[in-house]
Amino acid sequence: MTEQEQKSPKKEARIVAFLCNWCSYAGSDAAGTARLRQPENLRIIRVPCSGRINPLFVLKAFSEGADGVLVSGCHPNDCHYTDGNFYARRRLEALKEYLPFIGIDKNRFSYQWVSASEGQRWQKVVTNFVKRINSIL
Amino acid sequence: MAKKLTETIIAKAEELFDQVEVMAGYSKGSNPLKVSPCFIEKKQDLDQLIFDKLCINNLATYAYRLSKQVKGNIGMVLKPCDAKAVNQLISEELIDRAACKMLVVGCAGVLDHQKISRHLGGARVFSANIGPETIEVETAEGKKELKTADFYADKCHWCSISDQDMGGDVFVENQQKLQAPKKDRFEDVKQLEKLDLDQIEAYWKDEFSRCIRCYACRNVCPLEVCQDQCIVHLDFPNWQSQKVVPSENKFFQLIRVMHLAGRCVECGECQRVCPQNIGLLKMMKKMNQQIETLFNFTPGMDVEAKPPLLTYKTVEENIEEEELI
Amino acid sequence: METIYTLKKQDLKPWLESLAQDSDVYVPARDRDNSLVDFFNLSEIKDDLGFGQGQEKRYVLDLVEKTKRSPKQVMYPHWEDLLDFSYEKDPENIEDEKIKLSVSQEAPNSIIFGLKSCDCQAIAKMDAVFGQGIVKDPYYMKRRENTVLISLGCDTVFEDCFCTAVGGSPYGFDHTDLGLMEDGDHYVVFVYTKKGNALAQASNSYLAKADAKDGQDYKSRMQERGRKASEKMSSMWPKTAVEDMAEHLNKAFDASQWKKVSQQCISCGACTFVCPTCYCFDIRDDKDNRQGKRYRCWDFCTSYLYTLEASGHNPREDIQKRYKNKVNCKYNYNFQRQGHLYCVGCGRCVEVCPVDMDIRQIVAAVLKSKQP
Repeated sequence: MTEQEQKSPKKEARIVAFLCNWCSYAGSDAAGTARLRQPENLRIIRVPCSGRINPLFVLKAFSEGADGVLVSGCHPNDCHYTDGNFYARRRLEALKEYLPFIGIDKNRFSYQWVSASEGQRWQKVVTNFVKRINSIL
Repeated sequence: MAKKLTETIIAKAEELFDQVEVMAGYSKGSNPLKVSPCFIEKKQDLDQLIFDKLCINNLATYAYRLSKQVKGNIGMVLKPCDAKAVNQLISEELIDRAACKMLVVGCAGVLDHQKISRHLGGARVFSANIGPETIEVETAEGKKELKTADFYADKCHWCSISDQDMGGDVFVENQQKLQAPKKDRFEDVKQLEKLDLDQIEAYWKDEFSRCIRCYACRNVCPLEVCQDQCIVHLDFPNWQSQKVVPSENKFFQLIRVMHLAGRCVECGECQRVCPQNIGLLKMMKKMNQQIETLFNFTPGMDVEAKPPLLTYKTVEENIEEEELI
Repeated sequence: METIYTLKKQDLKPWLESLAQDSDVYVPARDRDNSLVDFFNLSEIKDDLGFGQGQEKRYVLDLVEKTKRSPKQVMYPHWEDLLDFSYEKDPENIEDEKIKLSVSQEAPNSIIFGLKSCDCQAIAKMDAVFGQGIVKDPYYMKRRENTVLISLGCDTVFEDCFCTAVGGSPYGFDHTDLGLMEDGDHYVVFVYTKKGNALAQASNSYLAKADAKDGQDYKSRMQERGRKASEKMSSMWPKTAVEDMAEHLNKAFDASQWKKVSQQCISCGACTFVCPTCYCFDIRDDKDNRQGKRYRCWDFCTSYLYTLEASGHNPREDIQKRYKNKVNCKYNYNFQRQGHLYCVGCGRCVEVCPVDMDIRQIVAAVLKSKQP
């Protein structure tokens, strides 16, 4: 990075994250309690299950100006409600592939599985996602 | 030929009529290039029915509403592509298979009257004689001969079910086979995908700057049965503004896309009815293309099949999850 | 005595461009990309607009075709902000919250060029809705006052035209400011109002005064052409005279025909949004945290939500009742209220209807049945 680039004020990425109450939300909490450093670009919205996430939530976030949207839920087979995340996987995958067709880079969206105990995994997911968004901006 | 087909349809409809309370079909339109949907409640009125190359409307649009209105069974004259929509409604248990009598008519392709009238510059048409090769029209400016092949509805160019009965109760075979020249179904989708993301965004912005939010696309859709309770109009939560601006118009269309994911039978009605000629169908086609590759599912073909987004597999063969670690 | 001018055809472009210097000039043009004809703001598409055929430009001036949407949107836009609001807390007393309101409205000078006579009639009807009575609509009126109408006589009659049946005529210039008639290599310009006169005088480098003898000649020719165009008009309209329509529709209120004619309606708003005389609107708020905008946007009476009440009751639950109201609003209620029909026979609703509902046939069918 040149000195010029370092000085120029960079736009801060605004990322909306939808987190499952039972795993990822707790996972991010665990990361915080363990004092793991992570970027502050996320606006977290807690949902009861990744199956609660309507693909339109994601599209609405993009249309309201979010730079990236991250969805995180329980690992497959670990859903608190047995199968919510299986439905979510189908919907979100269909959505993800569709984004380029309406002019949105598909790298601006991701869905991940992070459990309540995986604070470190959460840290990596967030860091890498923010890095990716910043490289697009 | 067309006359004989119409007679057969009327005869079959008469046989079916004892079981139904109302029969939806096509009747003569307000001008020689249009046909009008009609709803027949008395047996002696069945001779109003017609069937020709101009019967482009998808009568499945009325299936859900009619089935809620009448106590008895409903009957419908359907092209095989329209029957797909009815099948989809049945598979989602929105209408009862036994209460819906389907009279499916083999199809030789239908013409988009808007394409013809746009070609004629909106001139008054006094008569039209439609043959398999040519269309003879008589307008205020004199007689004209047009090539039939130029005016087929888009969906006819990639139709592969024109002579299938699609699980209907009665099937009327059409002596004429599908005559529309073959085209690639995803041609326009591919064209658009060749562009950069910025160009795609600009393309949609331009398209949706014309949208007047008349909701004709939504209301004509046979599968959007919840139009009176649509989230578009909600105040709490305020899903979207009623201001007619390109971004909101696009979002409205995305609501439709998501709602129809894995359900849309590509009857093309939304695009046909758009007063502003917005190319909506490719949005639906793109989603369908994905559903096909991801879940190997085509809507409307099997009444027993479960819509792909209402079911799941614990191991998805076609989904490759990305790792961010 | 009205003044009559002539305008050379090659002067049309410079004239419009000179007008566009201090007003928004709306011209009917065809967008090649999607073959739609609509009114466009000249200054926005100036470089892409071709006058006449044979030019490779995106837009082409089209003075023959009927525009898909009506020009009402210039004065009565699809949506407009009525006011801005915000909640402000008093720092001394946090219980006390004040609402701050502010109104800002732009009403630029506008000129609509190339209107058909039906569109002018329609604007006169809109004036009656928004500009009469004790409370006038300031938003509409401000725009209307700043708008000049330049209409062009119709010689081409389209499939759906029926203006003569509802009391109009293809050369009916009664509500316009300037009326144009195409004539060989020039346009004849008739001045009808003070506004029109001022505009014509300001454009004296393009408009040439016609002498009295020519003027008489032009006038009689205009009447002749109006008559000719009228003859070509469709005769599908019921035989009922315009004045008797309201009474007949009242009698037919419970006619069984209503169900039959409206059954195919899919409750969309296409006919309403292209109609030049439909004026219903909805008022809504877009609120973002502690501030927002109150705006109004067009509404359509065929929608289920149009009459839905907060209790959940809907007096016009089925489409039959909604469509009956629509027809009666145009041909009955407003005739009783304002003294004229709220239909100008432009035929746009017939053209756009996705399910082939022809209001001429529907009215005819209902009036024929009359008995309940």
